[in-house]
Amino acid sequence: MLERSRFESLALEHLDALHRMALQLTRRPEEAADLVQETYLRALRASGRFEERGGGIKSWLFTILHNTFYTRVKREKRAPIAVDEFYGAESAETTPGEAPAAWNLAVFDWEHVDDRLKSAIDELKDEHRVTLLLWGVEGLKYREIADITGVPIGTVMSRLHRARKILADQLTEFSDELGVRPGRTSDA
Amino acid sequence: MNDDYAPIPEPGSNDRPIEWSREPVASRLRALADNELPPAEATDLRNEMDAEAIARADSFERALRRGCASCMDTGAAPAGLRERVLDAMRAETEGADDGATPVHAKTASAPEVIRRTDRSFWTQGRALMGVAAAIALAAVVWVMAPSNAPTPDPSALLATAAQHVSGEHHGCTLDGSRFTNKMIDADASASDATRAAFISEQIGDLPVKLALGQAGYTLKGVGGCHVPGGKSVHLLYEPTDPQTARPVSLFIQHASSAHDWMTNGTVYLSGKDAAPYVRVWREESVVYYMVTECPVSCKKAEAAYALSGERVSL
Repeated sequence: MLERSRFESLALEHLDALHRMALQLTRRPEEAADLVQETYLRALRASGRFEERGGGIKSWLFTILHNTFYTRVKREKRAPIAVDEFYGAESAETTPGEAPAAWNLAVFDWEHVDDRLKSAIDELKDEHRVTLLLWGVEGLKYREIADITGVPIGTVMSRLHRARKILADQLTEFSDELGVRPGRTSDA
Repeated sequence: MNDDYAPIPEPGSNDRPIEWSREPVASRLRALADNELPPAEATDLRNEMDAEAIARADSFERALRRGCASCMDTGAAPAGLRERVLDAMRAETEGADDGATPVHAKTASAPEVIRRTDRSFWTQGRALMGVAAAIALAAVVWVMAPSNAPTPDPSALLATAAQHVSGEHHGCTLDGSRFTNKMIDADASASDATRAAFISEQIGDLPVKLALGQAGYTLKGVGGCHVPGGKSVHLLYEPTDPQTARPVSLFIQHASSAHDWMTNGTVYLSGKDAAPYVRVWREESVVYYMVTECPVSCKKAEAAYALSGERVSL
């Protein structure tokens, strides 16, 4: 069980990360700030049940934020995601097996893809974008992402791979526009 | 994150280990780039595939991860959010000692009184038992007789109304078009007399108290509303300092017979008293509903209306 001051100190270390995730979920700065605040209040109320171990508080806070957001969504009957998937059913998604052509690009100019990549990320489905954030920005393992988002690890892999395939394909199109041609794919 | 963090799936979970041999090569290559592929599977993959192809995929996936991190990293949280969260946590800690009495707890106290009476009654002696049984039977018959006509739970209406005002507040603070459609008097320069006239038009000439204007808030808009229980008016306030507080909605309703059970001075709280924070109270012929997402703003509004009476959870 955490002391109040210890809880504040540990939990507030992750304010920026929580705000990033809240922004990805809500896409509205004001709502993101409200969601972060509510997450900390819920965490404070439940802090007696939290057992300090390793870096677990970050995942725990992410889980509270994620659940708080989807509880609100349910209450307000908004539907930003495929609800059946969120509620834990095994995803019907199949893992895309084909390799993106981008893997075979001899040269890829990463210096100039930011805008293209950003707009491609913005167009992803909410659950793909949040999974991508937890993986790419927060550096979490598949297992941790599965625990936070409340889905099986296979669904996390599926979401990640689908999102990355979409982004890679977008980047391939971009490279085509720039006149850089990929070679033959190796395992399609 | 620590690599030992591997919670055991909950009983009944549909989670199960990945069967890597059944995963497509592209999936295994991505897992390899993420350091998620078990060592034995990584060795198998390296035996199956051309080293150069693996290196290309690995390089691309790692670069893509860095690219995603760069695009999605929104940096530090806005200035003021840390203080706002800290203030909210302090307010929460202070509020925890307030000890609101839930409605069901009050209801539950009634049988307790009856039980005490019963015990003292039965201790009068066995000679009175027959009389007591007859009285008890008569009481049961009397209580059961009107049961075909269900008595509405008075607090249920208030709970429904609290939910309604939360939704209205949320919609009007986040959705500009909803605000514009609803708030027909969004002119901040409108005089108090104009606003009072509008409110009277909506809910009648009532002794309405508007206290948030003196508590660091500016009226952003006024609109008619249909809160369950009667015609109402919705006033949306914005804090003069948005870094330390959040918008507050005040809904004013003409008290009807449905509110007869409410006690002047008692403050009714919604649910678990988490965001959105809702306070409902009655002052004579007027019922007020206050909604905000922020506990600090809630405290300010409570102070402005001097809400210090008994607290009852809906």
